[in-house]
This record gives sequence, C-alpha cells and structure tokens, in this order.
Amino acid sequence: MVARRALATTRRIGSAAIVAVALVACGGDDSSQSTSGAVVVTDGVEVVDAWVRPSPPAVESAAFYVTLRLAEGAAATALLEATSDRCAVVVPHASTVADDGVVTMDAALDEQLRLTTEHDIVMGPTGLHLMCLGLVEPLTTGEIVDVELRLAEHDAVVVPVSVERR
Amino acid sequence: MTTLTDSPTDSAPDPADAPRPRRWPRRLLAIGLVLVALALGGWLGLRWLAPYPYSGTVMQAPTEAPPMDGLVLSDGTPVDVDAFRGKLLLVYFGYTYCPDVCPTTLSQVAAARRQLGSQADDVQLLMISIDPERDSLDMIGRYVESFDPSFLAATGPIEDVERVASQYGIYFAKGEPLGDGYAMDHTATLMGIDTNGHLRIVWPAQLDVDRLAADLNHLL
Repeated sequence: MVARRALATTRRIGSAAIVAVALVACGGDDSSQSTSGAVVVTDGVEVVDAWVRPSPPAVESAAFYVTLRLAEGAAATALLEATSDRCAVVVPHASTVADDGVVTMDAALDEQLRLTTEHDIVMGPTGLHLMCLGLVEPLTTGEIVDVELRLAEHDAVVVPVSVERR
Repeated sequence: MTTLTDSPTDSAPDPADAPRPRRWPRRLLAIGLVLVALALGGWLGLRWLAPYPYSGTVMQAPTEAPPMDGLVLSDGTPVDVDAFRGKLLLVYFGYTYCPDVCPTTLSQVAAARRQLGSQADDVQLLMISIDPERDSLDMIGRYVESFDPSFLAATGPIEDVERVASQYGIYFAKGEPLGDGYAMDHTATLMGIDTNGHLRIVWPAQLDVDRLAADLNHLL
C-alpha cells in the first residue's frame, strides 16, 4: 500500500513520465499482482502484471499478457494499438474455448479493449493477449521487453514486459 | 414439588440414590462417543467409497488408444503407441506457431510433472503437430523440449495427422490469417492414455496445474 500511495503522489505531481515500481515494495499483499511485474502509471492508466513466456527455439510468435486498470476518476479510454521493437507486428487477440474444447483465435473485440473504472483490460493465457508476430530475436527468461501501448485520449505507455516461465 | 435436593429432612441422602444423577452424564457421554465414532466412520467410509474427483473427464469404458500409423517422432522413428505402455502417456494436438494456448498447456504439463517428483519419469507427454505444412520434425522436437526436456513431438503427412486426430476425437482446421501465415482452430484438450494403453481421461483446454498433478499422481 506504501507503493500505491507513492504512485498517487506521483500522479498529483502531474508527471506524465512513466513510473515503474517494483512490486516487492507492495510486500506481496496483493496476490493478483506478479512479484516480478511492474505497475506503470501514466495519466490515470495503471499497467499491472505484464509478462510473456520465453520463446521456444525457431518460434516467431509470442503472446504478451498485460493487465490495464484505470485509476479512480480517470477518463475512460481504450487500447488502440500496441507495438514493440521485438516484433514485426503486435495485434490484440483473444483465444476462445468453445464447449467442445475447440480453441479459436480472433482479433480482440473493441469492447474487450475498452478501459473504464468498471472494466479493466485483463489479459491472460488462453484468453485476451497481445500477439507478437515476426519475433525479431528470441525472448529469454529474465529479460524485460518494452511494449508501447497507444490509448485513446491518453499519452502512450511504454510497458516493461517481464519474460518469465509461468 | 419434589426434587432430589428437596429432602424433607436434613438427613444425609440415601447412598443408593446418590450415584443416580451422575449416571446420565456418563450415558450421554457414551452415546455421544458412539455417535462421533459413527459419524467419523461414515465420513471415512464415504471418502473411501466415493470416486476420486478427477479434473478431467474419465472414460466410462476406456478403449485401447488408437494407433498413430504414419506419424514419426522428431528423431524420425515411427510412433508406436504400445511402446509407451507402463507409462502414463499424455497426448496433445498442437502446433509451434500457436502463441497462446499450446505454450500454456505445455507449460502447465511441465509444471504438473515437476510436482510429481520421482514419479515424473512415469509421465510422458507427446505433442502431435497438426500443422506439418510449417512444422518440421526438427522444429517440433526443439519446441517441446524447451518446455520440458522429456517431452516428445511427432507429426507426419497431413492425411495421417487428420486420420489420427479424428480417431482421437480431435478437430483442426486452418483459421484466422495471422500476419503472413495463419492460426489453427483446434481441439485443445489433453488426453491421458493409462499405463495399460487405454484412452482413459480427457482434460479440458483450461487446466489447473495442481489438480492435473493430483490426477496424474492418482492415475499412476
């Protein structure tokens, strides 16, 4: 909670700079947050738990999992686009499991990318993800990959995505 | 009104009557103990008799696992399902260009296997690539090994992959175009072939690692 207060203070100062706070500072009291992820705040948009699996050899695609949350009172927005130097293209996608076990993958719907104080954008395995196509070089465990998110009516957010096995 | 203490005289209580009030608590205690024992016995009995709650769907009448004729392992040897008898064989149909679901399942199986300790050696994962057009034998071998060095992968001509997949109740087809390529729509269940070579259990696409590990432990 100390970290949350620090973030709130940073927002009050009005800095548009991206603030990354290691969650170690949170004392691990929030199990929904990764211990190795980061909270990034800009303009009321909080990016929580950003991670990607290391890429298997010869594989040129990956799925970034980023969870976005809107701070109290911040204006509603939407995720418009994502880019990364490590990928030829990044596309918001959603995997859907049908009742018969068949998984399909499609471009994410606008409503899934809407961010309001009532609706977080929650990404995770076998669900919503940012698909990286044309991986420039393999993703290795322990490194941090920058992914830039463009949001409606907000400044762009550069999210440090942690490469880890989960 | 007459009570035991309401003696008309101050004389000492009749020694024959004195223990009587204490007998009831003793009887109650005995009855209570019997009831507790019955309840405990019943609970243990139910636990023992109740079927183990698998997180996957257990086949009511397990049948022999269909052969995989035409498919070859990443080292080029033909797949012989019978050769895996004695091990719990987990079969998954996936592909290496799959960025979300397949790596998730393979990571979860690897994690469940780690939970098994020394018994992990009795669990063998085999991924069948449903995308032989892009997945070479070398690629699928290195792909699965990156999740767990014990994992095996196989594929073959598309007609053979289609035949084997349908025998295992697996659907797949080219789906959404993805960049220069395509995604595959596919049944993403995990199948368990028991140590006697029978197709015994099917787990859903969304697994729970702890429950999968418990299931594997129970099946061994």
